[in-house]
Amino acid sequence: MSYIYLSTNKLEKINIYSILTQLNNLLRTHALTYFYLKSYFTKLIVIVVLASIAFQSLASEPILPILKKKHLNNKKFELGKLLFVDTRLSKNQDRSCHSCHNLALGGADGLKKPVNLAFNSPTILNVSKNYYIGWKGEYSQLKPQLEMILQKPDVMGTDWAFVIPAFKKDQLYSKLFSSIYNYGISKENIIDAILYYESNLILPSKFDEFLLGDNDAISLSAKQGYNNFKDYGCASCHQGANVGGNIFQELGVVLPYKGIIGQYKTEKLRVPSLRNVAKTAPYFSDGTVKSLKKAIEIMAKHQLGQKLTDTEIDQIADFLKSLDSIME
Amino acid sequence: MKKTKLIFVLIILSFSLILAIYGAYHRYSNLKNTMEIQDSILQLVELKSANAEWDIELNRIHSDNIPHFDLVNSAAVKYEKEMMLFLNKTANFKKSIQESTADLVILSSMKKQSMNDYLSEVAVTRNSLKFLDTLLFFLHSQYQNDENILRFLTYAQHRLTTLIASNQNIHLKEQKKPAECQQCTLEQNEAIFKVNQHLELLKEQVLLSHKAREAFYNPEYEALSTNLFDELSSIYVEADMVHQTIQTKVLMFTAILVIIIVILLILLYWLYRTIDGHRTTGITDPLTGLYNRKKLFENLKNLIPSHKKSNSKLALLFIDLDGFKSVNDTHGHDIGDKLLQLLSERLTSSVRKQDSIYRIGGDEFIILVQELNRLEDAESIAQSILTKCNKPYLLDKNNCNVTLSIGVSLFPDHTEEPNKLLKYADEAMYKSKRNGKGIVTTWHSDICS
Ligand code: HEC
Ligand code: HEC
Repeated sequence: MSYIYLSTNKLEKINIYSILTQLNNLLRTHALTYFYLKSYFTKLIVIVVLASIAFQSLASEPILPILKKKHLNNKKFELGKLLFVDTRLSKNQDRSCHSCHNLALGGADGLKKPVNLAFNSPTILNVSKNYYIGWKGEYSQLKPQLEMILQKPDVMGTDWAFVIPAFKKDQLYSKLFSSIYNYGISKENIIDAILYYESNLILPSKFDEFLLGDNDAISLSAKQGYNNFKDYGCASCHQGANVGGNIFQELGVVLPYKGIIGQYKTEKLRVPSLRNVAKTAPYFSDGTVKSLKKAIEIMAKHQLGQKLTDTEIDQIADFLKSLDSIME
Repeated sequence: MKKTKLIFVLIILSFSLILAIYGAYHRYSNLKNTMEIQDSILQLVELKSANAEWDIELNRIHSDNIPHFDLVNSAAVKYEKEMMLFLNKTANFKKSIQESTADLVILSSMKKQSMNDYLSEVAVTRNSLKFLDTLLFFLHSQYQNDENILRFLTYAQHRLTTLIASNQNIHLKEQKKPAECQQCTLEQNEAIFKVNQHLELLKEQVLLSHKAREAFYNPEYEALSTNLFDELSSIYVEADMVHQTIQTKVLMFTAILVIIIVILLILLYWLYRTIDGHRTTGITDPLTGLYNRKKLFENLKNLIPSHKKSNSKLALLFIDLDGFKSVNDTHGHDIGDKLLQLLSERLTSSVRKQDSIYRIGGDEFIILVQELNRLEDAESIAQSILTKCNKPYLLDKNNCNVTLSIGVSLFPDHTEEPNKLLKYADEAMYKSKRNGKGIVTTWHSDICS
């Protein structure tokens, strides 16, 4: 169902270009395959055609699968994880990143909003798959955002003059830092380790398995939910590898949204990722909606001008649940 | 030994000279600057191609069945990375370029903003279109027999087509809006309202997405980047020219320097050769290459005090050939000369390294034997010379027989005066001759009697 076309001439050019880029990407990412194929030229054509067909079928889905990071520097990742839960990084040593981004709670905190902060905490899982960071999408890279939260008193307010000597006394940290970094414990290295952890915190879901061809990975109801999600147009906004995180929208494009108690401030926000959404209640930037089904209903009404049936909502909820990361 | 040392020093010197010239060339040439500019131009090309890729992705949003915002966003991210690199590479350039790059950054961030607006519109526009399409289809089947609604639906369908066309910059003729429906039920009015609402929404969306699209195909951007390219090229040409002149200057300078050095070295060598030649010809005998009389007295003057100091003995062997005249007479002077040369070789090989040999007359030779402890040592050396040199000489197939008569005098035992030392040895030699030739005689005080 596509309404908007360029002239056919242009379209052809673009398709050739896209096939070329796909080929190129394929060859680049699978260097091994490339070498293997190089010696078997006929196989090259067969496999590339097959692969590009596979890619085409993936590309025709609005949601792209994510894969677990391979070749992780485990030491650095573990160090980042330790820092992520270390309360000494906060001003009053009463919280860590984990306080508001609890992995057991889907990477968020289960609160409406943290004290003194304007927004509900989003999940930290798969955060590097977002193209814009934060509800307002002010950052497009994690590093400046991380520097900002460490500095901001209402979030972490790190006192470096305290942290660095304290870490230097910590035997485990001294050992880990000096085995990973040239200059041991320093502000830059601490930030780098946290950054490494959060950018590699990529945890795929059952739904990714489904997208990659395992038809039984998710329930029938979830599959129908996915179809509803696409058919009604949720996928126009919540799409891409992170099921969101790549464009800006306001809540209320079709029907203005006033909020549960009439205080919702309509503004352009980054469309949030729906990965792990089933675990990260309460919902929306103001954290006022407690149930997922209510959130779906509101979305359908205000973003699409649609009224969904209860079954449809249940199915969509099942689909959203299938987006939960598989935790090990 | 001395020669190799000299060559070694020369090699090191020329190496350091080359290094110094190369260093100066690097320091003062414009090479680095030129390379930097070249680098930035290449980076600008990268940036432009990233921009083109970004545009292609933006176009695809418009044409793809399912627009993939990830693709266009990652194209934008790539563009931003190239931009950062470009900014780094042009950070030290002159002000006008700085200004242009700053403008480029602003235009790029405007483009990103427009892209974001556009993507938002695309998502909503798609949903509106989809919504209207299904709604109209649904209403059509529901009100197949209702004239009023159908008239409205036909209008709405046409309006939808107009909007889709205008989304592609094709402007169709508008149809007149049908009058309000008087007899419609509440339900029907609601449906009509909904359709109208979405038509309005769609119209706004189409307008907005036009605006957004225009914003990111900004002709200003093209002009600016072309301008920047030209500017960079022109400073490149300038820098390269400076570099070229410096390079030729340095090359010329080096060539001249090398030529001068080579000439100087040749001159020095020549000078050395002549001086050395003069020196050796003054103190050597041209025929045999042995020292001459002059050098003998020079050496004696030096040796006597040094032997006095070390309390050791110095022997002077006076050698005269027996029968040399007859060799000259029978075989000619050529053979005589050759004989002398052969003899001097034999002499040289039969004395120790520190001992020196002199030719002081036609067939008279002197050997100074240094650092002796006893007279007997001198005599035994003289004896061994005799046995070696008395053997026949084979010269041009002529067998010549000459013998040596040797006289020995000793410092300080016989005398402490150089002249007397020579004289005594001469007397002893005469004694040898008189006593039958081919023997060694040592001087003693009553030798003359
Ligand atoms: C006091 C609670 C709190 C703490 C502590 C906290 N965060 Fe957050 N975090 C938030 C909130 C609230 C947001 C959303 C802010 C916004 O969008 O303006 C957020 C957003 C983020 C985001 C962006 C998420 C997205 O989807 O764009 C990242 C990444 C993040 N935090 C990482 C961290 C790290 C790393 C730490 C520890 C150094 C940390 N946070 C500590 C509350 C917290
Ligand atoms: C026009 C774009 C758009 C469409 C279409 C859309 N959404 Fe959303 N969605 C948003 C925005 C924007 C937010 C964030 C609003 C806020 O939190 O204030 C959001 C938030 C959500 C949330 C809450 C996420 C969280 O973590 O708080 C859920 C769940 C959700 N959407 C599901 C859906 C479903 C299901 C559909 C289809 C029925 C849908 N959305 C359609 C833009 C859209």
